[in-house]
Amino acid sequence: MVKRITAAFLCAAFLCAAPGLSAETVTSAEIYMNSSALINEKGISSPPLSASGGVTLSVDSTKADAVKSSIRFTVDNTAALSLEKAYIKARFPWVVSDTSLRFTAGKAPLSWGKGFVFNAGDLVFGSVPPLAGLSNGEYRTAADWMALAYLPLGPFSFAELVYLPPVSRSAGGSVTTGGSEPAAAVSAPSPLNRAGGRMYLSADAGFLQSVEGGYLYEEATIQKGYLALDGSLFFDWYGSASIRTEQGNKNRYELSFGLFRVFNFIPDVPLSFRAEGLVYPEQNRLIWFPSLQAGLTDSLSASFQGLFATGKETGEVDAGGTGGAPMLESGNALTAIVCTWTPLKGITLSGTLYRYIEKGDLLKPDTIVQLGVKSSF
Amino acid sequence: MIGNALVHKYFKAVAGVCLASIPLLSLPAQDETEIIKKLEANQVFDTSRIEAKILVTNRFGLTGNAITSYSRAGGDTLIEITEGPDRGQKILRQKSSIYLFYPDAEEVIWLKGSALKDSMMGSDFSYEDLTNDKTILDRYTASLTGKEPVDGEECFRLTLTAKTRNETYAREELWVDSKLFVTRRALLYSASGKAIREMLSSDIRTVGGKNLAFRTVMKDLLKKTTSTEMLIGKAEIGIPLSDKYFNRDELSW
Repeated sequence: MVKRITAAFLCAAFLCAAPGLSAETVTSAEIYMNSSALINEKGISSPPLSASGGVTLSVDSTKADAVKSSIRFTVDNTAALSLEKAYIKARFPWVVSDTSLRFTAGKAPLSWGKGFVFNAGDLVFGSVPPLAGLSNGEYRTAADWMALAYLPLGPFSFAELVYLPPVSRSAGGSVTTGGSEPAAAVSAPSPLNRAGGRMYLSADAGFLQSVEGGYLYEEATIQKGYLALDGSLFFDWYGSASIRTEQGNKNRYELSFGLFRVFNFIPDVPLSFRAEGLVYPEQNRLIWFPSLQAGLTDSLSASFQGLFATGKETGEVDAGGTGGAPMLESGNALTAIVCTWTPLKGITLSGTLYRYIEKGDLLKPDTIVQLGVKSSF
Repeated sequence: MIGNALVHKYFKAVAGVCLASIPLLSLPAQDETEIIKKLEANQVFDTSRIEAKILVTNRFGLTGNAITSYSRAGGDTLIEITEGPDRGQKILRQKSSIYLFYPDAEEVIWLKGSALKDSMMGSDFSYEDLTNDKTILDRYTASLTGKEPVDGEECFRLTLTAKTRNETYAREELWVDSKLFVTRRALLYSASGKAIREMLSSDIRTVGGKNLAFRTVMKDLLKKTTSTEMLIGKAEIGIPLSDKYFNRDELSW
């Protein structure tokens, strides 16, 4: 039954998407390449999977003013094909003036909750994205198969209803070192039909900008709920909290929070500070993400980023999403210095220096250097 | 960053809030206050829709973005990047808030606090420039230093001195067309008194009773090979414009 529903759903999505491609269509592509080297007391060597490359192709189409469709896929250096996005959006007249009812079907991004790296409110993709490294790019761009209804409640408030069929789940936009965004690195089966919704209310009060809450039901066994807030009070702040209940198991709670601010100590050199935390209270486990990024020139930026864990020793944590949680042991840290240079829009060169620190041992000699290039056209 | 008075004006052109002068061209301007008020009066109108290209040149070559902007009285503005590397991104100013839409993540981000100082589209403009509703005379002390021709057109030469240290540029010199009340040239100075940026406007056309510079070039005087050029392809002012352009629904579409 599940397979039949899934097949019907996918057919419907593609049948709907196909006509859109004959309308105003824009294609774009991105070529990326990364290479890594391990440096330690033995010299320089190539770690496993030290080099990668590929091409990402995108097709975006607009049919009239009310229908849009988008497809994006990547072919990597092993000739593996990964479908990252494939969806159609359509909008219809709606009861709230100057807004429209919107439907999305296919493999699409969805962002619930608040968070740059950690987001306990992301019931669909999990609190932690599939981290394969640190970069100066976005961390949360995952997509999944869904049917989504977007119902505006006012100029900046809305509700969403979503159904996610149990299509094999893959996380597009996986984070990679070097600033490129190659094909999905994580693919995990999702055996459950999922359905739920969220409500987003704009407070527009400065210190409190928005409040959102949501619920996800996973085929009679798991239920999840979340609440997320954001605002600004010297620092931009945001936080999400979620609960997961499962028959026969104890409830599980997650809490994520973050602060962000841009400082301008030096004119024309903005310094972005961000700090995020993710807490699993029952396990007394915390994961932290600090980041300091400087825009040295219009085209050159450098950042220091890190991931480290505190609390419980073992790192066995299910992020509840795509399974990409960093399995750092308490006291260990992954640190990186990331430099990106974009001499022209469309060409980005990057260099990343990684140090993995065990139990605060700064003298551990293993260092990974990664260089990357990305070009879009 | 470009000087706030100039940025405000320049960005408003990008955003569709326009550069322009008042239609009362026959009235002589007697002093700096009147000149600046006439200059700013052109930025007041009900609605606009502007299509433009922004070309950034540096020593590595040329990069272009095309944008369409929708604006209404009060300063609410939606900018959609329609061509170029950032295609699909949208920026919405609604009252004093700025919202960004990133199509890759289908996510709307509310820019708040210090993040408003970030560069917009990799340009010399910050998001904060979009929300700055103070007038030139609120922020600068103006003095009229004479008349000089620019591109053969007689201009008032004005010197603006910042009233506070919060302004990006301590001093600005403007050459304002004495008939059209459009800034034809501007020089922006650092706190040390050095001219660091220059703006030149040309191809001035009248649209909906307002005068717009259809070509504006911004040069970084510290980096001789860097410039930003804005070319307006189509401008409509005072047209019927639905309120739908200024909410989250349209932003995230």
